[in-house]
Amino acid sequence: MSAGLRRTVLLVAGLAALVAVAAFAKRSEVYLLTLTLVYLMATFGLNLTVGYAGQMSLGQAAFFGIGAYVAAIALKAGIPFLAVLPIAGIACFVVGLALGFPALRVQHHYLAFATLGFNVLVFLVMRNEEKLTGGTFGISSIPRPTILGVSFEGHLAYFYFTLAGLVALAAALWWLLRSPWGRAFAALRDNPIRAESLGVNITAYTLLAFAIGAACAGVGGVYYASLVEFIEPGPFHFSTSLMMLLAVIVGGSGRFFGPVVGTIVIILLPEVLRSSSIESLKFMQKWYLVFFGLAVVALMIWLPGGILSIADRFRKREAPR
Amino acid sequence: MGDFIHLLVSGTATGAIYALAALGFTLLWQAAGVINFSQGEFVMLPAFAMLFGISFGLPLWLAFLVACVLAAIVLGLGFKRAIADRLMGHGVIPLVIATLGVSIAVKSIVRAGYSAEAHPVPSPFPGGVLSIGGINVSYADIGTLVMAGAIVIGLQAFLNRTVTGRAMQAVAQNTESARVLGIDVRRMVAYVFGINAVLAVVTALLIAPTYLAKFDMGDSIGQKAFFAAIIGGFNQTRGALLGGVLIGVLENLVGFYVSPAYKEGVALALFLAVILFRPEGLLGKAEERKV
Amino acid sequence: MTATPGFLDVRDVRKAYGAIKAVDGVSFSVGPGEIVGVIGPNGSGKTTLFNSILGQIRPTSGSVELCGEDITGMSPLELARRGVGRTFQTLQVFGGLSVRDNLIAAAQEFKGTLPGRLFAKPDAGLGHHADEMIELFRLKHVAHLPAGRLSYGQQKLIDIAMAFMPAPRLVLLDEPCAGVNPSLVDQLRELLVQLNRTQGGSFVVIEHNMDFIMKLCPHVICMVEGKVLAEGKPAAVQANPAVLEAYLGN
Repeated sequence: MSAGLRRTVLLVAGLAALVAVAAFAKRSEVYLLTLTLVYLMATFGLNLTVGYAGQMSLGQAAFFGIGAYVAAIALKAGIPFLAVLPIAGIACFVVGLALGFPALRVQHHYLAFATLGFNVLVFLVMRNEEKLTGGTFGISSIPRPTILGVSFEGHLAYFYFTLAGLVALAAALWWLLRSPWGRAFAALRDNPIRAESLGVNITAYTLLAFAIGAACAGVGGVYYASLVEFIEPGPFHFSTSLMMLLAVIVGGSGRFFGPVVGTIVIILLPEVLRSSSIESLKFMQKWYLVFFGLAVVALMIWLPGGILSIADRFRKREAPR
Repeated sequence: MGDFIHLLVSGTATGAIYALAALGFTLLWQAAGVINFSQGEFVMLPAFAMLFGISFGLPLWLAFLVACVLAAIVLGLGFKRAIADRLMGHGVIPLVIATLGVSIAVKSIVRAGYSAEAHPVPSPFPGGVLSIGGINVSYADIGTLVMAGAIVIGLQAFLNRTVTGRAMQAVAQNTESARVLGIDVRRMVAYVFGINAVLAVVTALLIAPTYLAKFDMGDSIGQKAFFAAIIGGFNQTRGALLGGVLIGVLENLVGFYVSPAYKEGVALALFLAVILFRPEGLLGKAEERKV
Repeated sequence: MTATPGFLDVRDVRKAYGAIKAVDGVSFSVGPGEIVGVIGPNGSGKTTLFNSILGQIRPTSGSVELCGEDITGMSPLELARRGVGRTFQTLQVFGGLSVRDNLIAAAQEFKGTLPGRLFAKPDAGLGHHADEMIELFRLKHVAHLPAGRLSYGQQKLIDIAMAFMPAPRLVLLDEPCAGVNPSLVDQLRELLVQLNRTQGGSFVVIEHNMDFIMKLCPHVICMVEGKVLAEGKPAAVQANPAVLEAYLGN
């Protein structure tokens, strides 16, 4: 039990530190932190799909984008933020089901290709359907929410608002993973053949894991649209999906807080390097992706469990999950 | 009608290029169980290698040969030794992730270390257009078709007629049986990696003159290779050919008659249709499930 | 004991791979609560027969009926829902889950509806049952460790315990003794006898360990070259000269 308690204390301390740091940070730094939180929503969801249910999804950015565009259009039409969240989440959930169904009917690694292709298609729609999406010009002046008369317009207020959203989303995922569903996800990840012989409906659970992951990205997309206030297709290119997948793997797939580490590595760190005034760090920024790509290869060879699995190497007896 | 035939021919030529990349991809999957997500970068690198060769004064054909040798060593054996060998047998996902890492690293090296611009690459074929009865076909398309056709026929002949080729097919179909039959599986797998690398160089030679050499040129060609392989049937070499040509032709037709904006979506639409109605691929054989 | 027709009926099952007849017209019946052993030298078609019953492969011809219902070629999921459980020859546990979670996972899908399970208690109300099974299989000291880290023999026991968690009507055991420490074989047999008595399911057991099968199964089938060579009480089958020849001959 003490391990659980230690983890809770660590978590609360981390959140408190984040709240405090943001209060004293520069505007651009708060923006960057908020951006990291928003991406975390998508990678937390992807971790469910990839890490807990063992399915390859290469289209998370497409769902992130669908959420963002739905939000941009709905928010500008005056629909309140709290109503837009479920709309975007459910939309992505349904699209996820519709996409996953044909792909999973065949073979499980087909989901990777189907999601990749889907991402390409969504990107094309965003770029070409100008009436709906504004094409390459995008959609601008997306409002930030005002809830019960409280405005989250300011950068710090919006940061806290996003943090609260992320904590709620993570709590919901935590609860879901502790339910029998979480066990079924793990069963089909570890051994689908055995799972099926024990009555686990692997098609249904795989679809659910994928669609729930997609819904999380949709929710993240809503926060993203309101944060950046202007969206265009660029950030939803499939290369973002690849980075999100790598974030999950690098952090440690199937570890609840794995995406936190991974998302810092792919979103926060390169931005910190970019905005740094130190010359050698600027040089690092240029070569960052090279190091990152090679690090991913090295990780797969020597530490396939991700960065967070380092601790396990030293401490062999650890409670599962 | 003239338009249509022109689109058909140039589409087939583009499709033949996709097919070459898909062919290597399929061979790798069959023989080694490797899904290579850096297949596109395997095409991009030789394009730049040939450019370098040319800038040092080599004629194109010599630059091509040098690139073939380099690719067989670096992208064939090097890739196998450094990465694939260490991850084969751990399931599909680690290799997919590692090759994604390779893809990102290679792209970024070219961008950060050389250039983010698109560079023109000379074509091995003469410019100009051949007109027969009002139908215009470029020499480049004809040359591409002839060369891709020759490579495919040559490869098929090698796989079917020679002892080594048959041994490679045996490994691709059933590694265990091949081992029991006394085939040197490791060597055959190494050959497949080499062939894949050389096919990538040929793909680069054919595609770079039109698509230009750019650090991210592999994204599109890599995707087309995946989809061509699946559409045709992942476990069939001929499937990759059919899939590639089908994508090339349909892209051209959609681009001209429907909307050029959705040309890139053709491969996906075809892929979804195939997995819905013929999951094993157009020429593929259904696999019986194993315990 | 004679097999009572009407529980599990295997009728003239054949499976050919090209010219090779892996299973060549096998028929037998298993009554409710009965334990039937299947023996035979390597390559005699036992595993193919098993896979035909379990829907892993579709037989070329013939049928398998459970309580009069044709279950030939049904998917493992459909079979599981009809109360058919199995164990595997090779290790098949959920390596990342704890032993206790493995056992709960084995039975939770039979409780309630799929949406209902999202809101069920984390242990799906099966914690007590899982603990009993852990006690029975003497796995208490490792109950909270990930199954993938345990020894071969322990994982084998988990695999067997998992098959019995949902109390299936019919269990097919594929070489339960393979890889199990010889000193534990007797214990395993007693466990199976006890589970047969308490749960009342029928068992079909493939096994190479003659001593184990002769003591466990009142009814034994000997397969050779895809056909049933002999069938009956263990002692009679063992004494059958044709069986002896099949094992020692060639």
